[in-house]
Amino acid sequence: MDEKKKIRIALAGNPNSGKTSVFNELTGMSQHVGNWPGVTIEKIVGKKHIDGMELEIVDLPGTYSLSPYSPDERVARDYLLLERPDVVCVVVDASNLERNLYFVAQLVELDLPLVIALNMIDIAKSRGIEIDIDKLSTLAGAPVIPTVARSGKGIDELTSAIIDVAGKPYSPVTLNYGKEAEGAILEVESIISVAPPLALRCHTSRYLSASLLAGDAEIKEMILTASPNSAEVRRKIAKVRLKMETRLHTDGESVLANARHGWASGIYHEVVRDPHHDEPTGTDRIDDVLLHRFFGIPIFAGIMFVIFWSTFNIGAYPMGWIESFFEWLGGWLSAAMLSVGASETLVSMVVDGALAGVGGVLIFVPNIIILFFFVSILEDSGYMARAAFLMDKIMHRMGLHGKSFIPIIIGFGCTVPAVMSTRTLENREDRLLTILILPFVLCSARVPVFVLFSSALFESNQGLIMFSMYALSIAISILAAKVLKMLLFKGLSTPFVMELPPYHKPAFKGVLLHTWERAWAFIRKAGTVILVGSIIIWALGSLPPGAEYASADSLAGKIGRIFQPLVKTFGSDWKGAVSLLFGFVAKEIVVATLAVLAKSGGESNLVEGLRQIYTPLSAYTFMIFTLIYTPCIATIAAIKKETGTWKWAIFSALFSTALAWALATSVYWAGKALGFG
Amino acid sequence: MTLDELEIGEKARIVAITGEGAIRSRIMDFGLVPGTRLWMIRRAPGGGPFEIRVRGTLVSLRPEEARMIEVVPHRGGRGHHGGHCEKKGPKHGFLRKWFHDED
Repeated sequence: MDEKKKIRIALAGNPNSGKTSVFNELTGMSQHVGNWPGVTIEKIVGKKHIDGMELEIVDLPGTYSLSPYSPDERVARDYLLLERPDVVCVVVDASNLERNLYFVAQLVELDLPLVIALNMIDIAKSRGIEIDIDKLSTLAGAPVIPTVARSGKGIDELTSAIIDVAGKPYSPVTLNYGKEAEGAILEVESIISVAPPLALRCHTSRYLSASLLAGDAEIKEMILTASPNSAEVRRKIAKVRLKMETRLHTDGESVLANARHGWASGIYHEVVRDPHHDEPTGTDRIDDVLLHRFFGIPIFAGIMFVIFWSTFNIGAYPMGWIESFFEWLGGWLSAAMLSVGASETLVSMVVDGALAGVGGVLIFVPNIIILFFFVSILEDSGYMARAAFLMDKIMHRMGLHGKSFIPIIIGFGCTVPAVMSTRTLENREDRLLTILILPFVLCSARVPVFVLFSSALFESNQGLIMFSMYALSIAISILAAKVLKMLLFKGLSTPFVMELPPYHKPAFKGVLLHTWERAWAFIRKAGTVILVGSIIIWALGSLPPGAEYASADSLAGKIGRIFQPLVKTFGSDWKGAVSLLFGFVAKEIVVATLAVLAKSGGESNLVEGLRQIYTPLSAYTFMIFTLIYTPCIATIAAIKKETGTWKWAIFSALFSTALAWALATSVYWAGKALGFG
Repeated sequence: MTLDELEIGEKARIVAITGEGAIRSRIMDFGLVPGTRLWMIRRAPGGGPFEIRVRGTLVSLRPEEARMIEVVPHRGGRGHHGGHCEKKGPKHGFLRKWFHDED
């Protein structure tokens, strides 16, 4: 009935500019998380209703530039260029204005109505930085609103400025590239006018022309596709570009970058008075300690130890409570169901299948909450970049990124949060590579399997055997990183040019929100993928009706027999195969299943049972297989979530299982040849 | 000379960015364009990345990226007359290598 006015707003900004805080304050909790089309980058959209108007705010990925080199930047640029939002709100860090204005320069070129949120103005003020806001507004051609997003200051003013700009005709400032380049731009503009639909859609033939002169392959493709005589257009553009580059003795990309930095630097020096510019700041003094050449790494190791210790030791208490709760719930539920006449099979499905599976995974929630609480603090405070700085050399040797280090350390605890923590890696390829090697890092769930086997069959060498498993895990991870890098990302060199942001006191609200998001994502997964997986495994163990759980007569037992030839190559039998199959739910279950299959009451019988099935050699190869083979369901689900497709989750499962089989089998036969076992 | 050859604490001006593609573009996005002044702050322990201050920001780069940035040491700064600068830290043994690992 009454027509609601809708304003489409794009929120842009550098990483570390506080963009996420501004977004959270602008939209409150009404956020919708989806994916940008075609890529696995999260698209977060928030809504806000005010004075009968609907504000739809799209949170663009945080980037330093709008060049077409990274998927994040491409997503942001394509949205701005092709979807043409009504207003662009750019968040800039007031204490780091010069670099941030370079990004603003690129937005100005796009010719969209702009509002500048001058964020973290409190930090700038505390450092004695004075900013002439009116002058900045005039020079940048956009309203400038000072904000402190962490405490919500200035957000109402920002909202009204956005609404105000959306309703007015827009008169942009023009960024001058210099005489030679301006001439070339005019020439290109006339050449590409043969592609009118595109130029019309983007409104910015000037921006398109400048990008073409900088050799922007993506824009070139767009223009050539839209042009009727593409060969001629291509030739003409190349000619203009060559002429300009020859006269200026530099390449087109530098011309653009120089002009934008010149614009940013010019405005910066006009509007900012920073008496302490170039003097060491508090951040420098903290870095002198935290990045110290002797103490830097020990301090980092200490921080990691504290995080790790708290996660798995403090986390052990709530884990115990959750475990007892599910035990109690299982008992209560089976009694309740039986009393209303449910069949034994149904009760078993719900209690032993669904509840046990989901409960077994939900006990990790405390770990995840504690871990991500710390990880959020590390990230928000600015220390995460320092950790990457300290660790990059060793990680780079493995073909990884400095920021891969923390996920790997977390992986020694549990692979699921490790995979989730790879989000700190900005580059897709680095992230994917890290995710794919994480399953080879020996997580704590696999430890019981190794403890059982080493105590049963290697009484005198227990410690050595355990150590060899950790050593093998690290060796395989390094090797896998090298091989996968060679196979999947050949010749790809990802830049490590990384900002070391100023230290901040973490925003408590943001840290809690972030922690809760991760925990909730995990809980949701437990309710879906893991629930289904657990029921399937239960069905395999319990069907056909009457078969004893996971026995030779059950489906699992039959499947175990089918797989027997495969596991026989490394000295295992169908019982081993069934245990490994069930270990897919969670690696600890390998021990539980073996315990059932060895038909024993106490631990000592289990050890005896194992000694009858396994020789030291075949036990060792079984351990190798357990170490390397497919990650558990929860990890698979996490990989799917973080990479956005099932492809990499399935790849990870198959690749690791094949590798496990090959290695276990070769060790087995080499051992045999050498006279062991 | 290139950025990786600067002494810790030395200031310099950029004269050119070599190389191409994504890395070059990324370097320029951080304000590292010809004419810009920068300040070598430190190097990660064990010969890892460099940390520089440029346009009021702290930026880290790997040695291979630093080699793409051609600089002249700033007038009045150390080392511009080609004289050898005394490095801090041990002069001999493995610790020296650990300190001054040129990668």
